[in-house]
Amino acid sequence: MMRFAVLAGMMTIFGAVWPVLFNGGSAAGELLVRTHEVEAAGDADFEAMMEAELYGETGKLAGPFIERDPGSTTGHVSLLRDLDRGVAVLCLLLVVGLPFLCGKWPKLAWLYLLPAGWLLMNAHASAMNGGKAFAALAVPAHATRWGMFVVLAMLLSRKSQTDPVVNWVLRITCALTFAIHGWEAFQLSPPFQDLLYATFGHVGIGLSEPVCHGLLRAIGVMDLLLALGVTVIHFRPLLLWMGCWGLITAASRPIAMGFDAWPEFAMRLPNSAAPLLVVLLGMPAALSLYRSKSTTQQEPAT
Amino acid sequence: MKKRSTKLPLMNTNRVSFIGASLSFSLIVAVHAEDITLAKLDVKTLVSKMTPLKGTTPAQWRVVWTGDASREATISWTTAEPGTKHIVHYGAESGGDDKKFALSQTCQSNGAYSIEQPKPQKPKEGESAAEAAKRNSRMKISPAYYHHARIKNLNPDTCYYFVLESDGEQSREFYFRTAPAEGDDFTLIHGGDSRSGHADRCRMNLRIAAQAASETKVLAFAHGGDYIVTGSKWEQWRLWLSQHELTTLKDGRVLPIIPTKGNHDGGKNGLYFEVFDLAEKTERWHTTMLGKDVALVTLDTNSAAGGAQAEWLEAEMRRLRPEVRWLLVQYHRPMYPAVKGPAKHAPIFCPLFDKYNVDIALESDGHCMKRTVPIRDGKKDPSGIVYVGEGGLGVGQRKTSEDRWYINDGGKAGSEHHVIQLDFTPDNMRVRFILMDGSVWDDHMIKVRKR
Repeated sequence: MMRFAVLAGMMTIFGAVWPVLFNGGSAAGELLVRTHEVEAAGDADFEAMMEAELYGETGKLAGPFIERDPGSTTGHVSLLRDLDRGVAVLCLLLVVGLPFLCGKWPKLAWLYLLPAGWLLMNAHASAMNGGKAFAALAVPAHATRWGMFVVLAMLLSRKSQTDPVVNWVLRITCALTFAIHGWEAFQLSPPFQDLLYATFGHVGIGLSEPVCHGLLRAIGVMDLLLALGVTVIHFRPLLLWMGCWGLITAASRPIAMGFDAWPEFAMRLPNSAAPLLVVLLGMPAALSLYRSKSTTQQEPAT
Repeated sequence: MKKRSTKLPLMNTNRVSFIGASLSFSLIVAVHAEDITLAKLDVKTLVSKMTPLKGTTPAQWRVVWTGDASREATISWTTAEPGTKHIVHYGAESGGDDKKFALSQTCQSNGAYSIEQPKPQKPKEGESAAEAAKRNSRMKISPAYYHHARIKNLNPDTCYYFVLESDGEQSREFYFRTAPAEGDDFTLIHGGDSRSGHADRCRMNLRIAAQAASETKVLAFAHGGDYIVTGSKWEQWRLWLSQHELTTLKDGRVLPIIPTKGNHDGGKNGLYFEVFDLAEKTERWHTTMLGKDVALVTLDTNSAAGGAQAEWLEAEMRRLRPEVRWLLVQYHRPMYPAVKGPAKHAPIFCPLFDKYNVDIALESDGHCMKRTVPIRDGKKDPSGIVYVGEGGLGVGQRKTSEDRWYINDGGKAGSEHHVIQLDFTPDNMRVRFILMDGSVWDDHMIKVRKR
């Protein structure tokens, strides 16, 4: 189980780091750059002046408009981009190196929290950056991604495969990711529609819009039920189906977009790996806990 | 005194008189862009050139094209108060000092922009509830009202002069030129991504005006999207709209805007559609006919590529390709990007572009400059489609990934604020990237396809 989790973590981080190195940076990097550029361009004072002069609003105090030298802004932006890439490479090295080091020094496993934090920060930055359908829900939507490294930290540091905290971290992150994706599908998220159109198109099936919408609504309901199911019951076939479904949806990216989209597949592997880890852990869900508690309480009476 | 008459006769017998008039305009207008030092912006002077939103004074004017640009246009403006009577007076002759026009059109669509007020903030340390309430009331965004006059039955290749009137308050006189009925002896400006960097956004607006002033064949301005950062915020749209006034030439010429929706322009309140008078359900994608010979198909990369949009695109291209000399497409997210990964629309849109031999694809979103090699079926092909653009109307520019095959070996990429100028002739389309200082970064010729 450890090996499986480690391998899934490695694939995830490869997928997440690749676009940072070769496709313009991470969401957090983008947010930092934009914040700096807006500040360097003196946008706040420009806005305040326009609001006062043109719209009669004086809520913001307009300072003197100062534009920074474009050269220094470019230099600073370049530094931020280097920092962004540096953090990504550091996370990659940690995830690749830690499995070897943790055998000797288990406490080092807590360093997995760094890539977890990096991925969480990027999800939060995606929400802040906006510009994508359902961007505001990025933190829970990416829960399995950052949750995978929290789980790795706990698994490798404690060397215990029966930790109830690990069980619940996995179940809750799975539930969050599936619930948000289910909601997006039910709301007919345009990127999801295109995944269906393109994937079916590859096998020569021209999907009509009503069929596509019907399928997405059904997928949405299924995902929402799976999200509920993973927290409520421990039912192996359901968890195995979640694992398969996570793999299918991750694979739909390169199927639709071509092999160049492999990082999108890799970074979504936790959507498949997390439910499978729940199966491997084999620990109870909420309803099972309730049942076992009820059983325990009834025992003295018998 | 009435101004000159108005048929803008680039291709007929009045050509000489038009060029004469244009030259005199150019001399005046050239000063317009130079009123402001582009390198070191005097913001106060710049803002003083924009119209304050006050009472029913018409401000934030724009002419929008989404259909037949030879015969139709939507003239829109904003007022601070709702008013009751909103009319555009227009005609093919200037209204002169009396502002008397042959025609008028009452606005068919008026309403309040959908404004999301900021959440009230809690009292700060040492601040009383009353003081906090006062501070919160100062943060409140003033209401504003849109007015759209859809005018039809215009004559092609004609200058239309117009004055906006809201409850008796009149604007100065503006004019725009309709597209010719046929022929392609004109220029189109394209640019995208003005979502941040107000000073540079203003500079680029002045650059657009300067281009139109110096090259009189400029007909319209196609915006590739991402006007602002958060499409649901009126407080951002109003800044963009006021700054858009700077694209008006000193002689009152307004360049009609052909809008594209960017990924930052959305929002549940539908402000984008209120600003450009588009129907959210039916006009997310549209074709602008610039006469019989040039068609600009605008797509929406925020909606699914497949389904309704793909069906519409295929039908539209099947109809247009045999009819027009130049078939252009514009949309926001690039299919062959120089910075990010490709849009998920690529597997659906690109085969259709190939099938119907689109002449050029205009893209934005990447915050850089790019011209690809001609591409067909995902490979370099002399008969393929050139993808240009990526947006630089103020937003900070990004470093491009130089290793991508389609911007090497004949393609090109860079990072500067820019607009793209498309000069049409019967045989060629000249594609130039014009930088903020007016210099040319790239000058490329695309030959007309055999029909």
